[in-house]
Amino acid sequence: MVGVKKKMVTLVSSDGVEFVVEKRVAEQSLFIKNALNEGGVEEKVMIPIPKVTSDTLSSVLEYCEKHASATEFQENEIEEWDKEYIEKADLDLLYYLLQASYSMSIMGLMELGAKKVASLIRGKSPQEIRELFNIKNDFTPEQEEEIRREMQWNYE
Amino acid sequence: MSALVDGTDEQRRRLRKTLMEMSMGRGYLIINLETQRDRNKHKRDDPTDKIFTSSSDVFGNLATELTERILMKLSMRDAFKASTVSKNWIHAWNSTPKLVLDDKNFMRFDNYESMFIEFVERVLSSREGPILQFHLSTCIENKMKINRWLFFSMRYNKIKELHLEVCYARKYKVPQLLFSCHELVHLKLVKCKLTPPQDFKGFNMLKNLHLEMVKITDSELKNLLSSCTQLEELAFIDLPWITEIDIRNTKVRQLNIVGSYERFQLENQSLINATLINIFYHDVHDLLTIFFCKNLVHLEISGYKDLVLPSLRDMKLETVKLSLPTLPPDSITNLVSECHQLKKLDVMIHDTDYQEIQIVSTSLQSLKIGRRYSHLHLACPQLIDASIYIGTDLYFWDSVSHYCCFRKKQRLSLKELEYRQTKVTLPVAFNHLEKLSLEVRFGNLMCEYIAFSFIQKAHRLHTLQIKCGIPEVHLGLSFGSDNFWEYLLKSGLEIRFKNLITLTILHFNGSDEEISFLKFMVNAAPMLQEIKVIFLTQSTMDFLTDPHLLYFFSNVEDLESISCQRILASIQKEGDRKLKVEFVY
Repeated sequence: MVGVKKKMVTLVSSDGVEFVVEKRVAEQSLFIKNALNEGGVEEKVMIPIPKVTSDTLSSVLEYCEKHASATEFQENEIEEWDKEYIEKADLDLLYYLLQASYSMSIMGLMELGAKKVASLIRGKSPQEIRELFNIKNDFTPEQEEEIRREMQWNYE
Repeated sequence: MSALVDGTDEQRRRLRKTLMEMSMGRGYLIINLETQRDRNKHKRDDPTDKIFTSSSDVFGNLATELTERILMKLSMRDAFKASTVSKNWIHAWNSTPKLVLDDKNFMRFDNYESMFIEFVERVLSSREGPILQFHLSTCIENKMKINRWLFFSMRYNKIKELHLEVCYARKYKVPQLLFSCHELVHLKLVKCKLTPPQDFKGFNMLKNLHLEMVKITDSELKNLLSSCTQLEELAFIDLPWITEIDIRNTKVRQLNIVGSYERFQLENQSLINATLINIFYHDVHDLLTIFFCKNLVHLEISGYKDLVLPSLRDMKLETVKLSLPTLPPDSITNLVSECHQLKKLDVMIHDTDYQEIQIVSTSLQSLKIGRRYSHLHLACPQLIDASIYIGTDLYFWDSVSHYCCFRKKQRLSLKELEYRQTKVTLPVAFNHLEKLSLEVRFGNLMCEYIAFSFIQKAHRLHTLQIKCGIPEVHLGLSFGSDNFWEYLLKSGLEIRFKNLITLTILHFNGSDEEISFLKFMVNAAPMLQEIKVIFLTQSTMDFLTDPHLLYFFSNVEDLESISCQRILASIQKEGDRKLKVEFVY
């Protein structure tokens, strides 16, 4: 309706930056939605988002904003947007987006991030995956040898 | 984007020679291919090209649920590889609720059976938490082991999805424990034997049942269907013992039936989507009960002999696909005129008795006609996507000799062709057509002209695919460069396909007409971004040196990659636009 003020909420990132966003955008996160329901409808709501920095949060909110108005777009348009959105994230951001989507319960973003990581993994050897994601190999040489023997079927 | 020149030296030498020869006459600048290759090498070292990597060991500590989610998106091979990167990942993998086990990667080992068994036992023994989705596909002849694995997957009675494929000579009988898995939502069985107990009360949650090459009797199947009251999707593929398919008292919305069955009872008001495929042309009874399903939206019928379509006036069909040996005359015409909500139609009638087809519809958006017709009349203003076979039954006038005659008399004009073309009646314009696919026999003037008419009338076309038929025999006459497309090129007519972006040519033979067509399209479509030409046979070495084809690589700077199977060029056009041209076998 014209003239009705949009309901806003304030999200506070882990490094103390405040983001004022429309309620419907913030509610893309089930975590926030639940928090709002529990606290009743108040005029000024401040919700701290632990473990999510301002850089990540601004990117997450970009996603939420697009998807809050998803009905205005055609399905493939949103798909295209998603693709571009996740494509431009570097690996560090991708990691933070995944963690944020997990802690904030944003299912769509979690799916999108997981799909992206899976696409990067596909066809790579464990060592290549470790190098790409900078994952530390915490197996002892004996364990590694055992894995190698078990996974024999999986290599050319 | 990485540019590679990986052809053999011989190919490069021949290509360079040809380019050299071409350049003599045309004055193109030839650069040394070696230099090009060096430059490409250099390009690869460019730091902006570097694959990004993560700066710290964060992914190793990803929340277990996230790692699970990632691993579940991978194939079994990739998932197992990825799971071994670190302890955390192995832990995440062991607690994923979905387990897919398939022995096809083990087949190449001599001791594959014992290897696979050892592998599965180890995977199962390290499982943490219940399995909700279990897929097992194996050829090992070891009933005991398979039983044990299934028992394991069912031990908490929590399993929701089971896919089981056991291919050994004697059919594997699924253990009776299955019938106490009341949480099952999806059940897919391939090549097993299923024998529900007499007093089986059904799977209360089962929504999706897929039986493929499964041995089950008529009465058992009947009981199963009537006792599983929540079934929504059914697939019956080649069930050897089944003679009758009866879905009358079910809530099935989606039905997929493949194989030879004798009797059908399909009347069901919840059915929305049905596919009926019969590979062998058996006589069947009551197949037409499918047309009593008044809420059916999607229908595919394939293979059935002597099918006669009833009136479809009361139906809500939106997509119809028919691939049939015969169909009485006017069936298609009537179908289109009776289904007012029809959006998508795909017909393939194998009958050699060609029919007249009239497609007059205000709702149709997608049309595919895959076989010949005596006459095609198209009047569907909403068409977005079309795929049309252009008939090649020759009439006297479009044979090569008459073509020659026209030329001699100087009578060849588009007007003349339009007047003589009686095969296809098209609207003045296709106002919404964006994707068009045509099967054209190059060298047959009528086909070529009809194809041209289609393309010309579709002014919003952005994707065009041409499949080349067998080229017309030239009766020993040669026209040099003066075929239909050359004629258009030289006619001075202002022909522009302003929205065309992608052009694909399949089954390319490399005939003069095809090459001329390609030239014509490049000329007439200023916005083209991508051309892909797929050769029918491996005449690669010839095409590498065919001067006609190299027409496209007028500037060798454009060449990106050459191999014996593929040539890729990226041609700079006006402004920043680029045209990507690819020849592949």
